[in-house]
Amino acid sequence: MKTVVFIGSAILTLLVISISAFTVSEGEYAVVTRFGKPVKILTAAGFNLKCPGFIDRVNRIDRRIHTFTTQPIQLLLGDKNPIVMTFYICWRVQDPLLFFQSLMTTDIAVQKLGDMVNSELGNALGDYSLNNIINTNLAEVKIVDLEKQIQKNTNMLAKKKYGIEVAQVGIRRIAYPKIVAEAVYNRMQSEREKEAMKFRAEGKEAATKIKAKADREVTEILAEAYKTSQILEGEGDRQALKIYSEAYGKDKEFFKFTKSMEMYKDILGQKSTLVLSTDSDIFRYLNNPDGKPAK
Amino acid sequence: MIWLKKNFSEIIIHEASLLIRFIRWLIASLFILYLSSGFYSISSNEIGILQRFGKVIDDKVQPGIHYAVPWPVDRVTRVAIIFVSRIVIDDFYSASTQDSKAKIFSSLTGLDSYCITGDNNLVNVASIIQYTITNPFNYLFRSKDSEILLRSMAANTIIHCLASMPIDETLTRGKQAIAIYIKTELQKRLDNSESGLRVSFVELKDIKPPDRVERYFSDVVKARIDREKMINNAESYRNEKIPEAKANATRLLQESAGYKKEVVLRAEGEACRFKKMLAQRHKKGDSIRKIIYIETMKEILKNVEKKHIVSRNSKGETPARLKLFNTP
Repeated sequence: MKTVVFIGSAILTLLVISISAFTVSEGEYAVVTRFGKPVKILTAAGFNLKCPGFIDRVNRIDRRIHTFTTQPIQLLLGDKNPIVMTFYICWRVQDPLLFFQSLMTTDIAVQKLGDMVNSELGNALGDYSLNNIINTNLAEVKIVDLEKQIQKNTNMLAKKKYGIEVAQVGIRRIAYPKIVAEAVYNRMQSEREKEAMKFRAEGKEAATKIKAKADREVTEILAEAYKTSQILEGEGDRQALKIYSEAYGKDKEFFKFTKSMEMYKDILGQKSTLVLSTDSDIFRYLNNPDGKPAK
Repeated sequence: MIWLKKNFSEIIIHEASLLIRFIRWLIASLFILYLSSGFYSISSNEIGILQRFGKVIDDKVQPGIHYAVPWPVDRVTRVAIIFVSRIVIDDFYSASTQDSKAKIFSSLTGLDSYCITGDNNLVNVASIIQYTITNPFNYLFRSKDSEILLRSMAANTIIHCLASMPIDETLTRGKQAIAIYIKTELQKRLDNSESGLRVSFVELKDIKPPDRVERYFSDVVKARIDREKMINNAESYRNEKIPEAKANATRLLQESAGYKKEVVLRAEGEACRFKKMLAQRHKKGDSIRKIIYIETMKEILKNVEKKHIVSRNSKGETPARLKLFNTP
């Protein structure tokens, strides 16, 4: 009989515990409501008790960081440049009670935060020009400031209204509307065409320079060589003349004679036609063995 | 009847005690079975997180065999920590591949996907990010979807990085710098957001001008090569022409030197010969002159094929004769 009582009471105890005990996991907060009215907020994980069943209800709230991306929105920058942006937002529940009381669920929160960020963006973007978004000078780029500004404002609002902390807001994507993008594409194209043309022109210029210089050098080398060769030859001629005149100066008449003889030899070749008179000295003996000139 | 009754109740009591004993045994063995179900193992590439009533009591359960109080008290979650995960950030890449982020954006807005560089050029970027879980507790309980977080932050870092970089740098030597920037900046943000992730490697898979203008960019590269080619051609022209000219110059000089030598030697020889003849003439008088004359004539007349010998006696001077003299 004792055992039956023991077993029976054990089962009863377990039953009571199972309907009145609950655990809170590390990744969540819990708000205990009694007939809909919050009575207990649990931020630490662990074992907890409540009034059983229908009296108390446990509402679990995800306490982890959530990340989502906003819908693309097209806005005007301060300098009237249109731009399309989407943002990512990291948020988490900071005040579970407020979050619970404002009847928030994750889906609603995402929607509300997205709208908030986009409207904050609309307010903030007027203070920034395109040069503050993109610039080769790092000091001019103010994206971080823009993101911080939006994050700060959204965070303040969301904290007050929904008990949500907005931990990070960042640009997820940045783009131009179609017409602007078209213009940018065209500009990129013409810039590149110009650059290509410049390179080719440079190449042509440099090549022409090198060739012209080479041609000049060639001319110079040849002229220099011609000059030296003329000097050499002239020197040779001078020396030869000197030698000739030294030798021939000794008997000018005889020199004329021998030179003439040489000249005859040179100019009268095989093809020449020679008409000689029998009176000439060499034929002196042709008709006349005595050697007396014919009268 | 009483006997029967007594006997019957005795039997019932006996039977009941047997049943109770059996139930007791059953409960005991079930309880042992229940307790023994608390043994669990963690494999070598994992780490375990032990929760008791939802509260974490050990977030670094090392590999091996362990014991935990069975359900509903304890709960063990295994997290792979050695495993390297890999995601491709294709938000800014061309929308060609199916279900890429670029495609989704394009279908949402009808716009191309790209990132904008500091000098207002559009560029397509795809990068690969490898990461590991270093803090299982944060990974499980502080961040809802760490991969989305990582992806968003990575896209943001790319935007930040390119916003101050000119396109030429982006496409060439900037690659390394971009990857380093993404890695350090991303890690900083991940640490701030308790994601439990660590970036182990960032690689720029591809970075290129958008498809529409890509050929103009490659033409610039080609133009640069063309420039080098033109210069090289001109240099080889120079390298051919100058040695050639030098060779010609050398030849000319050699010829002239030869000429000089020749002229001088000839002069010397002739002068020598003349001197010798002169000496002979001094010795022999004018007769040597006659000898030279006759020798010369002999030689000339031997060579000349057409010889006309005209006697002076035939007085009739004909024009033909004069003409013959005029022939060169």
